[in-house]
This record gives sequence, structure tokens and C-alpha cells, in this order.
Amino acid sequence: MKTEIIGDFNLIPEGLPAEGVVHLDLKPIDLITYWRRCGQTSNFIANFYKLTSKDTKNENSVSTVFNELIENAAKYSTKRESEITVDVKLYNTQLLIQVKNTCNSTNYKSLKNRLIKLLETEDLDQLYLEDMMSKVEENKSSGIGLLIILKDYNVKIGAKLEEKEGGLYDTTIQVYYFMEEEDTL
Amino acid sequence: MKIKAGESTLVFDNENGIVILEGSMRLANLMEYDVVKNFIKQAYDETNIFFTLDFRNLIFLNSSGITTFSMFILSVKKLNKARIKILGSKEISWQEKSLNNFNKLWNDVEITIS
Repeated sequence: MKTEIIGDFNLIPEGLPAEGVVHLDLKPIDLITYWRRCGQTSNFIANFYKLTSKDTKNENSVSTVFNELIENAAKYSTKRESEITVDVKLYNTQLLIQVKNTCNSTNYKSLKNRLIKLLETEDLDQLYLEDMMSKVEENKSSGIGLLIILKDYNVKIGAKLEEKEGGLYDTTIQVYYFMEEEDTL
Repeated sequence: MKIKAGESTLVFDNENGIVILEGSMRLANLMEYDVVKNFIKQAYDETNIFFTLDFRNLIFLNSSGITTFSMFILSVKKLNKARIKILGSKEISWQEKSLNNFNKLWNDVEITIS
């Protein structure tokens, strides 16, 4: 069973204590049944960490970034039998957002291809323009979340993709969000 | 003209050609955004010179929403009809970071973030 690492993954040295830890286990079916739970969870995470920053804009950014990850996990998980595992940890001014879920081989391939393209592309604005122009023609489902996060926010992104039994894959996305100020409380 | 979309509302002030967006707009996918797309398209069709999208009170917009507004801008760009103005708030970080994307789709889109 193969394991692949793409982009910036496990950047924080193991054993370094975090200054805030939130761990959540969620079910994709619960998020899909009540879609607003994605936003609720995002706002909870952002609200939890807003106390550590003087810059109030971080709250909106953290909620927005986290929301894209949890929406993707809800949409692209194998439904009932799987879990979504969320870990959000603060290291000084760096917030590590990690979302792990299980998906089928089609979603694994499209995530892998998408991440490779995002991390190799030099001009993300041009990719955004091309994506939008192709969407006008095809009107296909979204998939622009990771592009917007990487393009518009001060983040690093990486992933671990692990093959499992039965044609399934565990995908772990890590986003390192850099708080927008030097001083923390 | 007014609609509710999830936890957000859109109001069209047809005298001034302004759509005012409020709340949190995080619908699940592009199909769910059809209600928003149809509303702004209809409002745009009723507007002549300048069409304004006022995002200043919209706290959140997810990427499906950004895609929906991007596709709207690309679709009306071809029509060569009313120009588009975008209003954003620098107090709401998603607006400061992502609203400028709309200008990359059409240079004539005028964006004011204040």
C-alpha cells in the first residue's frame, strides 16, 4: 500500500508543544445532511483561536480557509462508513489546520492532480482565469477552494495520500496559516 | 426585489442598480447557487449604465460563491451592457483578499474596498 506526500507536509518538528489544540471527529453524512454545520464548525475554530491574535481579521480568514477544507472533506468522503478527523494547532503565529478523510480512487486522483497543478503553477491568477473560463462552458461543480486559499491567503499547503484496502484512500490535507501580525497575546 | 439564500439575503435596489448582500453565503455547490445567479442576472438585465454589487455586509462567501460571481462577470462581459462596480470592506478579510479577483476577469470591473 503506497503513501505519497505532496507539497509542504509535517513542517512542524514532532514533539514541539502546541499553544492550542482542537481535535474533532465528524461524520460526512452529518455535514451533508445539515450543510450549515460546515460553517458552524469553521466559525467555532476561528472563534477559538481569535483570542490569540490582536488582529481581528484573522478570525474571518481562519474561518474562510477552514471552511474550504471541511466542505471538501464533506463532499468528497465516502459517505456513511467514514470519518473526518480535524486537528487545529497553534505554534506561535502559525496555525496548522489538518483535515483527514477517506475517499474513493476517483476523488483521490482528482485531489492529487489538483494539488500537483496548484503547487507547480507559477501564475495562480492565470490558473484562476482559465478555471473560470472553462467553468462558464461546462458549468461543472466547483473545486476552486484550494486555489483561492493558496492564491489569496498567506498559507502553505501539503497532503499525505495513503492507499487503503478496497480501493479507498486516506487523504490528509495540511494548511499552515500564518497569523497576520507579529505580536501575539 | 429580495431573496434569501441560506444564511444570506440579497436585495435589489432597482432605482440605483445596486444589489446589497448580507449575512453568510456558504451554499453547498453551484446548483444551489442557481438562485443567486438568477437573481443577479435578472437585476443586471434591469440595469442600464452601472450595476453595483455591494458585498460590504457579507461576512462570508465560499469558493462556490466566488465561482458563481466570477461566472456572472464573465457572462455579462460579453454583453457589452452595464459596467460593474464592486463594493467591499477592508474590515472583512475575505473581501480584502478575494474581491480583486473579479477585476482579473474583466478589467472594466471597478472595485472599491474601503
